[in-house]
Amino acid sequence: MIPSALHPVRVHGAAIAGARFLLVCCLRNEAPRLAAFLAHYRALGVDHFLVIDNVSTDGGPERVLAEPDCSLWRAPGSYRAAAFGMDWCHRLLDAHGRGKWCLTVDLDEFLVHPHAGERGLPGLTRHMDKIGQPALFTVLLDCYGPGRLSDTPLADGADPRQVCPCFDRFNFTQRLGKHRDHLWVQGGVRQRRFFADAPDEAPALNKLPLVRWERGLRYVSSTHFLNRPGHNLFLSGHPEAVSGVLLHYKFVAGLIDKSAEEVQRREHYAGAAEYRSYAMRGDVVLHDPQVSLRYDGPAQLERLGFMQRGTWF
Amino acid sequence: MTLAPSESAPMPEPLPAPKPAPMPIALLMLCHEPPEALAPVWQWPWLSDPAVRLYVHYDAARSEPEFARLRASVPQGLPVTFLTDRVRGHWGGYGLVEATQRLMACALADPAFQPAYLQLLSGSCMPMRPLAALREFLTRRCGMEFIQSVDVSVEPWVRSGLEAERFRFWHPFDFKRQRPLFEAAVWLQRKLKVWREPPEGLRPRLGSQWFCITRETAAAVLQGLARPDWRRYFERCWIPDEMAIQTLVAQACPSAFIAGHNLTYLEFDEHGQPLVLENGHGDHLRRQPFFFARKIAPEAAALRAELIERQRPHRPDAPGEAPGTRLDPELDLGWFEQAGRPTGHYQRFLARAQLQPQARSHLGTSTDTWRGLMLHAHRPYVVLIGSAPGHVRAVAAAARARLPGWPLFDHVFAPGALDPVADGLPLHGLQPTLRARRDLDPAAFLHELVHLDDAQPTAFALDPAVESWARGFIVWDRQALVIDLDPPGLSPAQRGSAALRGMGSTHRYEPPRQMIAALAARHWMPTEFFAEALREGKLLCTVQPLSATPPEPLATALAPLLQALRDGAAAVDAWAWYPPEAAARAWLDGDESALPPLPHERQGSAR
Repeated sequence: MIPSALHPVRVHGAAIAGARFLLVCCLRNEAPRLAAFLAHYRALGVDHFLVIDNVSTDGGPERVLAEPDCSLWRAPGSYRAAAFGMDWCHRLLDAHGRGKWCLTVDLDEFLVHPHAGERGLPGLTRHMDKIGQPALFTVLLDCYGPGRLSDTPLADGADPRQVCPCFDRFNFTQRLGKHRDHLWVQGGVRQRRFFADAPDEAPALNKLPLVRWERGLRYVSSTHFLNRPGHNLFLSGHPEAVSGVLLHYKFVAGLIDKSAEEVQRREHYAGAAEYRSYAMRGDVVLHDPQVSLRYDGPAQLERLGFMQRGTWF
Repeated sequence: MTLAPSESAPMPEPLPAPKPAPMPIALLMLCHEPPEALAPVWQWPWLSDPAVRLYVHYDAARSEPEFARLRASVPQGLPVTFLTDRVRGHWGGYGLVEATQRLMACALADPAFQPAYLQLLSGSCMPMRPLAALREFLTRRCGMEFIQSVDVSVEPWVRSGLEAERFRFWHPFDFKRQRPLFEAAVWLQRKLKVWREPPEGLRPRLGSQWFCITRETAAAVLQGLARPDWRRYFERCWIPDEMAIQTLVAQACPSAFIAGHNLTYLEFDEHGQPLVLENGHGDHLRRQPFFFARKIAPEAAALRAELIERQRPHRPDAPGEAPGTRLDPELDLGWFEQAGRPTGHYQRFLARAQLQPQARSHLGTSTDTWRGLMLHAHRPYVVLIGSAPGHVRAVAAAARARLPGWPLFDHVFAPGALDPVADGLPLHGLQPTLRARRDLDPAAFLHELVHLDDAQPTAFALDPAVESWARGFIVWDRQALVIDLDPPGLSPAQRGSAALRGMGSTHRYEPPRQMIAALAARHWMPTEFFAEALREGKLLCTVQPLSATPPEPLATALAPLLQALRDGAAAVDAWAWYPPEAAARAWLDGDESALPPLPHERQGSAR
C-alpha cells in the first residue's frame, strides 16, 4: 500500500475553490474533540475544512460528513510512513491551498492571536499581507487541568478550554536550529514535568500553523518549521510582525490510555518516545500553584510575552 | 407661525424665534462592494432624517443582476437614489471623477431637495457622530469648503511616490496592469524633461479624494468639468480623483473659504498604507474629531454596530452617556490639519511596536545565540556580589526577611546545583529541578528570573570568581545593577582568603588555580571581576557599593529593594566573614588554624 495514498470520500470542489481560508487536519479517533474544534476555527473565519481520516473507528468520519463545510479524505496508510501525516497534508495543500492562507493544525491545537475574540483571520492575514509576513510563528502552549490527569476527562463535545484552563507561565528555552534556519523552542509543562532531567529532549514548541501556501513549500518535522528560513525566522527580524499561540489540549484523562496504545503502535516521532514518557509517569498532577496560571484571553498572553501584535493596530 | 396671546398671562411673553428648517445634506456614495456587504448602510440612523438624501453610484464593474439585487435590498421609504448610468472606476483613472461628477449633478438636479452641503463617501465609510453634531458644525462654519486642496509647488502633499509628475507628465498606461510600461514612461519623460502646461487659468491642486462642499461650489465644479479643454486635461492626469475637484474648488472659491481638510477620518502608516478599521477600534475613533470614518473592514460587524449606535441623536439629559459622542463645536481646528497623517495615538503605537522591547514577544524574536531571550529583556534587576559568599547570602536572607515573597535569591548560577533559596523554600516556582534547563539555556533562565514577578524586581547573588555565561552577560547588560557588598578597604589577602573559604560552601568545587596564581602575582583576582571591568571601562552595567545611589532609571525601579538590602546589610556583621589582615596572610601561607571560624561554623559548634 502506498503510504501517502489519499482517497476522496466527499470533496466540495467549488466550496474549496471559493474559500479564502482553508484548514487541513488529520483525524484519528478524535471524534469527541470535533465539535469544539470546528466551532473554534469557524469563529476564527475558516471557510472550509479539509479532513484526512487515518482509519478512525470511533465514528469521527461520519460526523465530519454531516458538516456542510468539511471535505473528507481517507488515508489507509501508516501515519509514520507518511512522515507523521505531513505527506497527506502536503498533497492537499498543493492541490487546493496555493495562494491561500492555510492552517495546518491537530485537533487538540487551538490558535489564539492578538485581538482574538473581536477579530479573526481576515484581519490577521490583512496585516500579514500588508507587511509581507509569509507565516505566523506560534508557541505551542500546553494546557492542563487543576487536578490529576484522570480528573480532567474530556467529554464528547466538551470545550477543552473549560476542562484545561491552566498553563505554565515560564520555563521556556529557545535556541537556533543546527543550520541557523529556524528557532527551536522547548519548555512549558512538558519539560517541567516529563523532561526535567533532559530538557533538550523535550518536544519542540515552535510551530507555523498559518502560512500562505505556495509551490514548493514543505513543512519539516510536523508543522514545526518550513523549508524556507525566511518563513521560520521572520518574527526575529521584524518588530512589526504578528505572532500567535497554539493552545494545546493534549493533557486530558484519555492521554493515559492513549499513551499505552501509542507506545504499542510506535507510529509517532522517535518511536513514540514522548508517549513512553507519559505512560511512565502515569496519572500525574501537572498543576503547580507557583508556575501555573489560568488562561484569561489573548491580552494575557501578550502581556506575558508569549505573542506580539507588532504594528497590527 | 403666530402665537395667540393668552388671556391668563398679564405680560406677553417674547415670541420664540422660529425654529429654522434643518440643513439639508446630500451624501454621495461611490461603491463597488458586493450588494450584501452594503446592507449595513440601510440601517444608518442618519437616513431616517427628513433632510438627508443618499445618492449611490454602483461601479459598472458589478453586473446588472448584482445592481438589481442591491436596489432590491433597500427597504421601502429610505431616501436613497441610485444612479442608473454607471461608469467603471479604475484606480488612478478618470472613472472615479466621472462617477463623482454624475453624483453631484444628480444631487443638484433634484428640485425637491436643495442640499446645503454635499459629502462624498465610499462604501467602506460610515458616519460616526449624530447628524445633529454635523449640522451644528456646518452651521457655525457655513460657507466653508471642507476639502484638501494643496498647491504642491508650495508644500508637498504626497508622502511617497509621484507628486507633480501626476499632472506634468503624460500617463497613457495603467499603473496596476501595465506597471513596467508606466514606470518606463515616467522615466523617459523625466529624462526628456517633459513639462505639460495646464490649460489657461488652471492651477493644479492635490488633496484627498473625500470632501464636503457647498451646493454653490459643487455647481461651479460641475461647470468647470463641463469645459472640454479642462476635462481633457484632467483625463490625462494620473489619479485625477485626488486632483480635478480639488483644483476646481480652489478655482471657484477664495482660499479663505477652503478649510484645507475634509471631515473623513482616514489614516496611513509610515509606508503609506491605509489603516483598515476593525473591531476594537471604536475607542480610537471616538477620540478623532471627524464625522466620518473611512476604510472599515468588511468583516468588522461589531464596529459597524457601534458606529450605528453613535449616530443616534443623543439626549443631553440621558444618564451615563458615553463621553465623546458629542463633538465640541469650538473644537480646535488644528486637529483637522492632521487629516491623513498618523494621529498621535497611532503614531505612538507604531513607534512602541518598532522600538520598545516590552512590545516584543519573548519567544521567537531573538536569533542571538549569546544573548538569547535576554535580547529584548527590559526589567532592571540587582546582582549581589562580594568576596565572601556567606556574607552575600546572609545579606540576601536578611533582605528576604524584610520583603517576604519578593524574588530575592541566593547563588542561582552556581555550577553544579540550583539552590535558589538557602532554606529550601520554593520561591516563585524556582526549584532545584530546573538546573538542567538552566544549564541548557542560561539566557532563558536569566530572562525568566528577571521577569518572575510583574510588580517586584528580582535580586540574586552571583559569585564573581566563577566564570559563567551569566557573569559574562551581566557585565554588558544596562538593566543590571551590580552591588558590591565587600566592606571598604579590604586587602587582597583578606578578599582572597574569604573567597577561597566561601567557595566550598557555595558550589562544592576546588578553588580555581587561577585565583591562587593571581594572589601570588598580586594581580587582580577573579572576585574583582566587576571591579576590574569598571576600572577598564569595559562594561555597561552599573557597579557600585550598596550605599551609593544608582543612576536614574534603575534608582526608581529598584528603590524598595535597595532599601531592604541596606537594612539587611546593616543588620549583618560583615566583618564576621573577613579575617584580619595578619590571619589572612598566615592562612594563605598554609596555616590552616590561622582563621577564626565563620558565623555558621560557630553556630554549628555551639549546637
